Parts: sequence; C-alpha cells; structure tokens
Amino acid sequence: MKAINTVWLFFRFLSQNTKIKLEYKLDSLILFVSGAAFQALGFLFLAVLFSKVPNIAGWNQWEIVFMLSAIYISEGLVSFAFEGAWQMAFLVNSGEMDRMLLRPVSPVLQILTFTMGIHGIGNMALGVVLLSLSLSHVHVAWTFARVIFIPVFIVSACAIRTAISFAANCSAFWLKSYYNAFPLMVYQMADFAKYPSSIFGKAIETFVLFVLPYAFISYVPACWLFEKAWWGVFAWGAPLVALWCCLAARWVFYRGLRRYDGSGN
Amino acid sequence: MMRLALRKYHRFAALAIQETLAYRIPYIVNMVSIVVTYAVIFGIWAAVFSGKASVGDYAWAEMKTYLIISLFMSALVSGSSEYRTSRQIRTGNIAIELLRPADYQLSSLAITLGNSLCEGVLVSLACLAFAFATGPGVFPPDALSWALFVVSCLIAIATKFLLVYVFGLACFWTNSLMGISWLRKGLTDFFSGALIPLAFFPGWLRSVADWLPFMNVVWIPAGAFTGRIAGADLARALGVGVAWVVALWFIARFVWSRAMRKVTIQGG
Repeated sequence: MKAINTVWLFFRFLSQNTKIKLEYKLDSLILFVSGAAFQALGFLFLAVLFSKVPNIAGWNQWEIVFMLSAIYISEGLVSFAFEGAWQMAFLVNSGEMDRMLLRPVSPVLQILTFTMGIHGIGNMALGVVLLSLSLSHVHVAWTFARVIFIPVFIVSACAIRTAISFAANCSAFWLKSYYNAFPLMVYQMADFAKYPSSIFGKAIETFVLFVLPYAFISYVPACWLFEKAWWGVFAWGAPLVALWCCLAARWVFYRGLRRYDGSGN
Repeated sequence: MMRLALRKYHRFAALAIQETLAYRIPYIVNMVSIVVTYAVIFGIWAAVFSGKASVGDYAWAEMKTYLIISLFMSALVSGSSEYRTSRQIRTGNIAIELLRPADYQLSSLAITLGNSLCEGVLVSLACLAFAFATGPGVFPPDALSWALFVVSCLIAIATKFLLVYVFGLACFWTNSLMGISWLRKGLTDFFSGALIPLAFFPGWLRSVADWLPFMNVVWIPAGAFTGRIAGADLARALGVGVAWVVALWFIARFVWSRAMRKVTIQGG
C-alpha cells in the first residue's frame, strides 16, 4: 500500500514539475537543445577519433557508442525524474528542508522530485538513438537472456546513478556552502565509464567497479553483451549493486540529517 | 585618469584573489574535476597510441604535450564568471553593479584575471603532475617560440573570458544558465581542439572550426608550443586571434547594450 502511494505521489510531483517547466518555454527549449547538443558532441568526438584508428584496446566504435548511450540514457532518465538531488545544497542552507521534514511523506522522495531536469528528455532521446545505432552495427548473438537483460540493466543503471548523485549531494549537510562542487566531481567520475574502464589502468578500473560502481552502468554490461571478458556475466549483478547503492545513499542521508539544524528564522 | 582606472580594476582582481583564497574547497574540488576529465582524455589517447609510433602525423610525445597544454588552457579560465553574472541577473543584484562607477565588462575581466592567477598556480601543478606521469614531451625550440606561446596564451585567455562573458549575458533573456553553460563548454571543448586536435577533423568540420573563435583557446597555443604552427602561419593565426578578441569585445558590448533595454530588476 505504501509503495503504491509513493509511486502515485511520484507521478503527482512529476506532473506538477512539468507544469512549472512549461511556464518557462524558452528556458526549457534551450535546456532540451543544449542537453542533446552537448551529448551529440561526445558522439562526434568518437566519430572523429575512430576515423583515425580502427579500434581502441580491442573495442570498436559502435561498442563504445553502446557504452556512451547507456550513460546518456541513464543520465537522461535520472535528471528527468530525480533532478531534485542537485538542489540539496540549496535546501539545506536555506532551511527549505524544514518543510519537507514536517510533511508525512518520505523526505527522500520529496527531495528527489523537488525539481525536474527538462534536459533529461534531450539526453534520453539522443541516448536511445545512439543505442539503436550501436546495436544495429555490432554483431550480438541475441538470446532470450540478452533481450531481457537490456531493460534490467537500464533500470539498475538509473538506480545506481540516482543513489550516487543523491549520496554525493548529501555532502551539503557537512559542507555548508551554497556552491558545492563535490557532487559535480563525483558525477564527473562517470566519464571513466564512458569508455572501456580497463584502459585507465587497474586502479581506476577497480574504483569504478567497487567504490563508485559506474562500471555497472555501461562497462560491465557491454563486456557481457559483446563477450569481452568472462566476468561480464557479473553484469547480472547490477540490480544487487543498485540495491546496495540505494541503501548506502539512504544511510548517508539519515546520517546527514542528524547534522541538519534548519536555518532559524 | 588611466592610473586611477587601473587602480580601480586592480582592486576587483585583488578581491577576486581574496575570495578564491577564502573559499578554497570549491576551488580545489573544481580543479579535481578538471583533472578527472583530463585523466579520461589521457587514458583514451594513451590507448589509441599504444603499440603505434604515430597516429595521423602525431607522435605520442607531441600528443601528450598537446593534451597538457590543452589542460592548462582549459583550466586557466574557468566558467566562474558565468555563474556570477547569472546569479546577479537572477537575484537583481546586477542593479548594484549598474550603480557602481565601474564598467561591468572591465570589472568582470579584472575578476576573471584575478581568479586565473589563483587557478594558474594549481593548474600548473596539475600539468606538471601529468607531465611527470606521462614521460618526456616536446618543447618550444627557442626563446622566440616561447614568447609567441605566451602571446597566444594571452589571446586564449582573452577569447575564453569573452566567450564565457557573452554566453553569461544570455541570462538576461533566459534563466537556464545550465543549458547555456553546457553549450558554451561543449562547443569550446570540441571546436578548440581540447579533446581532439583539429588536424584530425575531416575537411568540412575543420572548415567550420577555422571560422570560429574557439580555436584560439587550445589549438593555437598548443600548436605554438609544439611547433606545429610556426613562422608565417603562426603570425597569421595570432593576427586572426587578436581580430577575434577585438570583435568579441565589441560583440559583448553590443549584447550588453541590448540587455540593458531588456533588464527588469525585481523588487524595490
């Protein structure tokens, strides 16, 4: 019952946010276009790069485009639905959080849906285009398991991302500053998962596998789909990794909340 | 008069330095983000070059140097003035700026230069770290090349400042700094050659890049440093660079004057 209620509330929040965004049509359009254009330049980079070299560390262009598209789709979906995580510094420092704590609804849900990222739609659209392009160019031995795998890993990827950026934004409880660059830095680490993480050396590969498990968004799934390594089968562990990330993020949030003391009035 | 003006803007730069030193954490974290970005780029290029003597007509030593200069130029002028402008526009604090007996464009430039001085120290350290981690590179052969490299850096700083400033002014028309800032950053990274040397671009894309000011930011200084752009080519490139700076300066003035007709200050 509680779960259904949460889902219902989530969609209510989302529709309210959509109405707000539609009031600012030019802004939304700029965000939508710039989001897609920014990501398109990432693809253009790969296209130019691969016009000079046939493959990088044994990966061809479309295999890497697959990884890129996984990053874009998850990023798009997450910023569309849960952009509120990025408002933590504002909520904590302005004392706005007070209101959320008083309502009989999970503060985590309220924070995550505090705002929406219209640019997410642009990212997602481009991500889907790149994913289809990539899968049409790469030879994958499609089995039932592989077909089922696609939605499973995308949902897990979104959960992993949401959890990591939420936890990173919880740093606002400790670093009391309106301009908090720490979550941005954590977000940036996802760049290591846009490309086969092994090329960055063992240390970074380990880091994105076990510390900030961005590799489960793109790299490990790609390893499994394209049969790059025997351990690619661990890609099926993505839902577990996602669950672990969500629990960890929740723990960080409630730890941080203990430090929260409003802003007075 | 001139001395007075210099003193005035010198204060803006000094304040920017004090501010950066007072808020060290965001500044350091910002730098770490840039280093992460470049660690990724270095990783990709190292993988591309592994087992090959050269790609295109670039040897690894030159590519490495190119990337280090790219890191240096990209990090030297951060987008912080964009945030400042947009915040002032959104909060209405721009009204106070308008009351000040100082030119907004010049004071923004002074603040950016102040910030760059601070950033320069950390960026240089980061570049040295990358240089040590990746082995020997290519250096300018003589004093003249060094001097021209320094000139190209000044043009790069001026160009980047003006690009950030003009894009920041767009906030008079829209609230979405994020979108504008991405667009600027994406275009700059790509068309300046920060990620991939312009020499690797296919012909049509190269012509687009040649007609844009972004190449002043990385491609020209890096070319001047590694000697890829030299002699008459370099002189011409620097001339075009200066022309762009002058043009952008007046474009910025024009955008500002349009914005002044548009501005509405909330509250009273």
